[in-house]
Amino acid sequence: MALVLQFRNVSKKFGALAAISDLNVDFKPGIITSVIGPNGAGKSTAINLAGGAYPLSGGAIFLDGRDITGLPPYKLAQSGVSRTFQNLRLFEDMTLIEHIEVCELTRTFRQVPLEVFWPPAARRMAVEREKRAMAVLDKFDLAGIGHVRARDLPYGHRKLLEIARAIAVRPRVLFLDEPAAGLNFKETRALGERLLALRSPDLIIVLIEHDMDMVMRLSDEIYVLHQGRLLAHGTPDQIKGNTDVQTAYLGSPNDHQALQAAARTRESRVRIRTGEGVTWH
Amino acid sequence: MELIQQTVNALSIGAIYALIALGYTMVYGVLKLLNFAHGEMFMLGAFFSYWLIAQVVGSSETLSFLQFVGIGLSILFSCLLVGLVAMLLERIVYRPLRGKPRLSPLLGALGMSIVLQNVVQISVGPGIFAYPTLFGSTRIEIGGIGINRTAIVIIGLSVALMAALQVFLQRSRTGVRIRALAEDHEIARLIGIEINKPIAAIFFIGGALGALGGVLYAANYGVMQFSMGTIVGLKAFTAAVLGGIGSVPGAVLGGFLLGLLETFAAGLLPKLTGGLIGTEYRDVVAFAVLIVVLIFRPSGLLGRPEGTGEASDKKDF
Repeated sequence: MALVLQFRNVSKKFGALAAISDLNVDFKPGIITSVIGPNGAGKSTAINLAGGAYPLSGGAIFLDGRDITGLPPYKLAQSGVSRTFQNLRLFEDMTLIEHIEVCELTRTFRQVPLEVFWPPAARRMAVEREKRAMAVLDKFDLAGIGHVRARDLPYGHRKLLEIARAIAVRPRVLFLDEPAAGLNFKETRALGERLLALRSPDLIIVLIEHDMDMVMRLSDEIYVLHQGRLLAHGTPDQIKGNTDVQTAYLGSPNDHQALQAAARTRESRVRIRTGEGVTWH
Repeated sequence: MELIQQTVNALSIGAIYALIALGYTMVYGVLKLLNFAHGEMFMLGAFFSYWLIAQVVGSSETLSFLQFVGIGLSILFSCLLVGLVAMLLERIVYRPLRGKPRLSPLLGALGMSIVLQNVVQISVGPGIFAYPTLFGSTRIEIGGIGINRTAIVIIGLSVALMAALQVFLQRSRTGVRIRALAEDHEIARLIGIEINKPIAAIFFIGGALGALGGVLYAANYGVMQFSMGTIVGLKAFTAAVLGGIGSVPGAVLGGFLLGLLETFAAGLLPKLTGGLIGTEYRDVVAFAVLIVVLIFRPSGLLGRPEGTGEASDKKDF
């Protein structure tokens, strides 16, 4: 079976609130798939479910046809699921290199005695590790500041480091939860270029983003969630022209400009009217 | 002359406190758990090594070279054994209680402390045992000052191991993982770090170092008892808090500071008060200093203040 990440009838309830109901989506490799929707649509919840942060209330998630539902996060990481976080979370007192090192997934514990009791081997391993970490950081132009601690980084670099950390495990599925949040226009552009460069035939990239401009520019496929359900699915052009989506976001058709502007400023938290009489796909 | 003598005494008891404090601080750093059973690792170290050394030495009057090696191996082996006991405790008590309210593992730790003490008390009896002076009581003359050989072994061994631990935590990859866990337990789990093995490693290292503290303590004072872990464990815990719990260099600093405070308080109090307050008040002084430090620096000397926008405060992902 081809590499694909599938959500099958996935649902998640927090108490009485149905954050996600009966969601069926497929994420394919080689392209960037975006998940958009108004706040509270269940986008981050979907990532948290796939990343093992909390258990599903129903349904199943498959990677390559293998059921990965309910695996602990480290097992998921070993099967190639990796992610960034909506709220930046770094190891503040650790250097950039250490951020990457900590994610390396090799059978390390067998090497520990050698590393602890045989200094030459430890030095050799450390040099190799640093080289590998530098190679990852280099993709994000962070190699020059590899020995800086995370707490001393400017915000834009922190966002990049989080993505670097997520790809350090050589993932097959990469979830990016609002990577452009808080970045200025220029940084967002640069980030977009980097994300496009990350595309590869064996990597599934899932982007969650409020910046519609970025989403439309980068995505090959878009899923629109609304109130925990799948509202629409298609290419950026199809989504732009989809009246259901416009209704869900704004309540009036042909107002893509306003949609963009409202969605871009995350602080203003769009006053979203729920679409009435919407036909569900 | 006496000042130097006192300093050496202070440093050797301080080194022992530091060795034990490391176990408290590493476990707290990662799990935010006060492992009150850790004092029992100290006690078990003394008892295991006592038994093993008795097997090696037997009834011989003078020791052969092979027996010296055997004593060394006995100490090493008892430390490893206690490390395994600590790992076992984590596996059967703390891991099932992980993620539960903080009070649950804390009570689990107190319970395990009582269980271990009672197991030892029932198996060997409540009496005080005379522990062999392993490193000899000969004084070595350094610059005209006689220094107890045991003190040299204690200080040398402890400092070497603490340095090794620091190198391990800073350089090795398991060390990097342990630090990542200590920084943000939740995020480390979510980015896919397998957390159980580093946590087991922490318990093993902490237990083994605590056991060595027990061996050195018993060899220094020549006695051991099933309840010895309570008060020394409490002192080491104080040392960890003094230095800033969760901080490894803090535990070392706290250990030595507490040793110095205690020893000099014991030495100076009778002189300063004209005999009104005797040496028995040294614990009062030590704990009073702790209280003062906690009033003015609640996070300890090298600890990071808690709850100032640290990653671990953010609860959503």
